[in-house]
Amino acid sequence: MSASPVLSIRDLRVHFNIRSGTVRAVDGIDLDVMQSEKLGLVGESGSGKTTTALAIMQMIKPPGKIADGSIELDGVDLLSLSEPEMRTVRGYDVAMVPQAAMNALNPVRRIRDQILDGLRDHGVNESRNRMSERLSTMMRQVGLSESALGLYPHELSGGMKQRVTIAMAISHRPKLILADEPTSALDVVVQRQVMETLEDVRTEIGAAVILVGHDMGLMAQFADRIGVMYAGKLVELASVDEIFAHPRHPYTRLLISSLPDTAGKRTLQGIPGLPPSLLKIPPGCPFKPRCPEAVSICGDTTPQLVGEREKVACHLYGHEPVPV
Amino acid sequence: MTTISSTVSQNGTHSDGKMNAAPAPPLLELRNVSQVFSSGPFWNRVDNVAVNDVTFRLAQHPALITAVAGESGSGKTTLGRIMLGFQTPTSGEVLYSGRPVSNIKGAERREYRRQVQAIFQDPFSVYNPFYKIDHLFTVAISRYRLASSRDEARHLMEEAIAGVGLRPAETLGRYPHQLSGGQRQRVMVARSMMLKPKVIIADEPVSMVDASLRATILETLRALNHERGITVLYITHDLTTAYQVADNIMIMYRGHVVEAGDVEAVINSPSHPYTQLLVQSIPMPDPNHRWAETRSSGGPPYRGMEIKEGMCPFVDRCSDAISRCASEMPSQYVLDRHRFVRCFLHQESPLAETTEIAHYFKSRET
Repeated sequence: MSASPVLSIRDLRVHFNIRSGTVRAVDGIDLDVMQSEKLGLVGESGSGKTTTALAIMQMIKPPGKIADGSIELDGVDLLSLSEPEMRTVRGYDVAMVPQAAMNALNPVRRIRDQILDGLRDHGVNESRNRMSERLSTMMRQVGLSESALGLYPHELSGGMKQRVTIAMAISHRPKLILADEPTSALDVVVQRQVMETLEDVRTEIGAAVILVGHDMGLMAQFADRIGVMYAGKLVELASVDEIFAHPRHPYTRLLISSLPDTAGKRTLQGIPGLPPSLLKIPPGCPFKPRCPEAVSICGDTTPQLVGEREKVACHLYGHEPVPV
Repeated sequence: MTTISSTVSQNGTHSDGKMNAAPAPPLLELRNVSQVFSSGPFWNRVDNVAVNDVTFRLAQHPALITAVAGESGSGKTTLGRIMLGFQTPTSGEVLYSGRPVSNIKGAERREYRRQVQAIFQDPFSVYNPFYKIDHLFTVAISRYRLASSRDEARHLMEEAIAGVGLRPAETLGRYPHQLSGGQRQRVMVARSMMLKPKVIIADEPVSMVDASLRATILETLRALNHERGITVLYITHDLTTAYQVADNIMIMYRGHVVEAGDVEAVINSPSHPYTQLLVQSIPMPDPNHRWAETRSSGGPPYRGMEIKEGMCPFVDRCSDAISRCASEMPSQYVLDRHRFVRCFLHQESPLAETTEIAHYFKSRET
């Protein structure tokens, strides 16, 4: 793995200004993703993981906007680009595998025409033979037969559709692939096949991947490093082995202990309480109301994400508190 | 007619001496049930057998949790719908307390509806957004005449909501959109619970709920079973939760129950190649046990074969298939007292004496 980051996010803030106030969906995130690294971004619904991915793609829709921070992709500051400039990056240097493949494909066009649209839109215009050769290669890469090109989306199974979206995402050999719960609609066997396909093509083109999701099992299978998000903040960031062997943040610990496994029956323990409203994030640590280990300082001071290789935002770890 | 049969259904719960000779019939029983869905124009009919000749008894005593697992399209949801009476099977019989469900009418049908409750996958689409949460309860209370006064009704609602770990004051009087997905799903469990059913059929109750809330909902289901003696049929594609919650499991593939029995045995030492595939595909929350280690090598010998009646439905995907698999449907081979498998790899094992699935189920040690 190379040491230079392909993606560098600093103090990213995404706000949604609605009538009742400002929703701080992403509330100050620092994150580096190395070349060809597989980073998992986990958290419950509303923790800001998908919003972070959309911010990288610059696909935040109003009333949302990127309020502050910087996003650098391979040295290029994405936030300084105009929309026409961003269009040459989106799909090229950074591509997205969407959550619901069935909604990502046009139901009335054949797979071949949809992929061709995507290629031509990015200025690929080669002879008919070259193009069809290219399409066949793409299909082969994701383990589909060429005959799938002539089909309509409804003629494909869920897993096949998700492979088509992977094929489209890698067609320009991006440096970074954002995969937003790519298998949440699929069952286990197909899920494994799709994730293995993603891993194969990723290795082939050497791209980095950010896998967004809430399934810690899937993260354990796929990721090199895991970032845990809570209420718009990163609360822990460490290698996958460290996260599972020595989870530091109480939220991460609860998240892992709530996972069912097949190594013996036990009482399943959920995480009590609910995440805070992002309209009114309480002062101090956002996890404090649900935290079984909270101490008095947690109510006044927001812990910062600190640490060398394993980073955690929690007062239990004796770092100097930073006053707000 | 009505009076006689109502005594029978009461006998299910209190045996008052009249029925001593024969044991009480199981609460729900499927006898050789098949469900065929046909599609396409009449000159090119395509039959899809969603449930294929399933015989299964769901007993009330002992109250157990049975999981039904399989991929999408395996027929597990159809099986649940047949037991709920939402679907009349193409062939075979469905009996409720020993009587065909199709003959149950009027007040008795209402009783059947009350005793066999459903919890569905999507906690968003079962609610009418214009009504408060209370509506879900008051409709059920008035329909089943559970309360004689407003106070009594209020008490029932509050008791049910507190029973699933929610605070009544923060739940009642709210609209569905004011609750989270996990809360909504727990409200559905509370509603079922209030009706004091004998069976709950839960079809993927946690697949749309955040991981942190799954545990809470599954624990609620487990408590209903252990503490109130409610039999639970848990339909899922997630083998880890099935393992944690259920006593026994049925693995379905293309309408057939291909392996069934004690959940620990089935998941920790799967016998059918399909069950093995399912177990190997579980994304284990352990970075030291990655999928790559079990990546299969070698293709199935009968890949691409068209699956017809009278052959093993898994033959086209099975790496261990032998010629017999392509010409005959495997019978049920009994591996031990609490497990059978429909696979010729186990043809040395004795044949099952009955096709009834729950015969091989294990009761819980107390």
